Amino acid sequence: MTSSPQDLGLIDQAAAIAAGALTPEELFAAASRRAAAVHRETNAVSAVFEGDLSAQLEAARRGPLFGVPCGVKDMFAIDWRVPEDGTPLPAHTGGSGEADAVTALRRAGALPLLATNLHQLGIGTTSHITALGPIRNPWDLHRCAGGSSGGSAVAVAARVVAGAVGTDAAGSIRIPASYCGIVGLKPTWGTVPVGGYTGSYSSMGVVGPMARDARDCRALAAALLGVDLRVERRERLRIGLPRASHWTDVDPGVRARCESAVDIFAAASAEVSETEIPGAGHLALAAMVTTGTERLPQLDRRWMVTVLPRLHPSVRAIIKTRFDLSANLLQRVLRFRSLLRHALAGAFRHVDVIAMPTAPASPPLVDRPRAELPSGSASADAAALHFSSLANLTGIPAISIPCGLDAAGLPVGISLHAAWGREDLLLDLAEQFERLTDGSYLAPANLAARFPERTTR
Amino acid sequence: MEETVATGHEAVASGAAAFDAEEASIARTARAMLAPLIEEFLAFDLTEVPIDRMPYGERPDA
Repeated sequence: MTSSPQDLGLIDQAAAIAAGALTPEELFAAASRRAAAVHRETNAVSAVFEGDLSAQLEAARRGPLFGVPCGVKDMFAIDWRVPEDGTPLPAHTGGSGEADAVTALRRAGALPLLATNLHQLGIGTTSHITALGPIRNPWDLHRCAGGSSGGSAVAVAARVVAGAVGTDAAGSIRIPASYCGIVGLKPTWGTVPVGGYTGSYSSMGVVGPMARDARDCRALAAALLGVDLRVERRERLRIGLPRASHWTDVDPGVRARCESAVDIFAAASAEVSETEIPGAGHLALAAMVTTGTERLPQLDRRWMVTVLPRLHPSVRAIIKTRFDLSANLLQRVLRFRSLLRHALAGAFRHVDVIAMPTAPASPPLVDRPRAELPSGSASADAAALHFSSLANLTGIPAISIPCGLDAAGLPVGISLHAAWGREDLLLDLAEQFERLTDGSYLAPANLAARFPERTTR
Repeated sequence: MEETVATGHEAVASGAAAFDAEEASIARTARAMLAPLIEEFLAFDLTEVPIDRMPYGERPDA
């Protein structure tokens, strides 16, 4: 017996609605109440739909997720919401109408009723800088939720909604998923249409699902990608570990949890070997150069004069320093990306997935967003980008799966990377891992209990 | 104190990309962090790397 409809997962909520045991109105009312409670403590919610729900239901097809409310990162145009990109002002999405990802949700029957907050302009992995205040981690409110899709991660972990849409140009789905103990999939570049997404210009940015477990993540991925992602049993899995570049300078507690996850796969007959990533020391820089320079053509004088001055000083400074980056540097990054793509194409002839910690350290403190690593203290952003950006620079899919808690009781995620177009494999392995561990590493229901709902009169 | 940046972009030409004092301080820290990374990257040999015809999102096995 469940105490709240939010304790049901995405698929089970849809099943309850289909069976008549729950109505979309009841479910959305419960989500709205919890959104208010969670937002008060975490700043995770940019807006909740306040209009006529019957019109939203009419716009939704009788698909597999009919009637289920979902979160949407505030970088997408919705019929009731102009996205604000984590800033104090409406963003320009380059078109009118709804974003393609929102349309995809409606096709599956889901209701885009919650706009989730994000790191300002999506240019950070912490979400401690937003127009609404820092997005706090529901596991520990002194810690960052991760970013940039921090609001989506919190909304799912704290059971406001059972599924949410995020975006990932340098780890922005996987890092908050890891920090908040949920599953986040970065699909292959180009597989989800990007119309109406404020980062649609990016050669690294993709739209993807965030959910409480792999089964729900698969359902949301199928809706966004518009494909059937059937479950397959995977035998003789081959896992490659880039030990030299991505398993050494890692917090010992995080590394222990991720090594245990690999051991669990190995005990289930996976073959583990070493993989090398050429030039791995340049991944973070290459990601920063790419995301930075690709944004520059978007920055017209009007934006620079009207929007930029209202942003956080560090965001303003980062934007302006990007004008320093040279054409030589950008061209070298393009060559580097080519090198990586060819190297990975070779690696995936010998392994099925490449595994590494999603982030090298626990969720950073809101007041001091640093990563404490064996090599010393580092910017949480730069440290995380070293791990997350491989998938973005090459376009391949990657998934972050909860794999335990560190010594402080904070979630740890392991990332699996697969060859181009192999989201199906990643989702199968995530489900397999949850079966092997009885789902014991997923965000627990009692996270939501930390946010008491106020009774209304 | 103001610092300007050297590109021909309209935003720069208009002065909108000039740093105020707080931004300049943050930018100095960011540049100090990036400088050694850029130096190492510029020394990384990429001369033999084949250039993809479609650099953005090309299938790695195409």
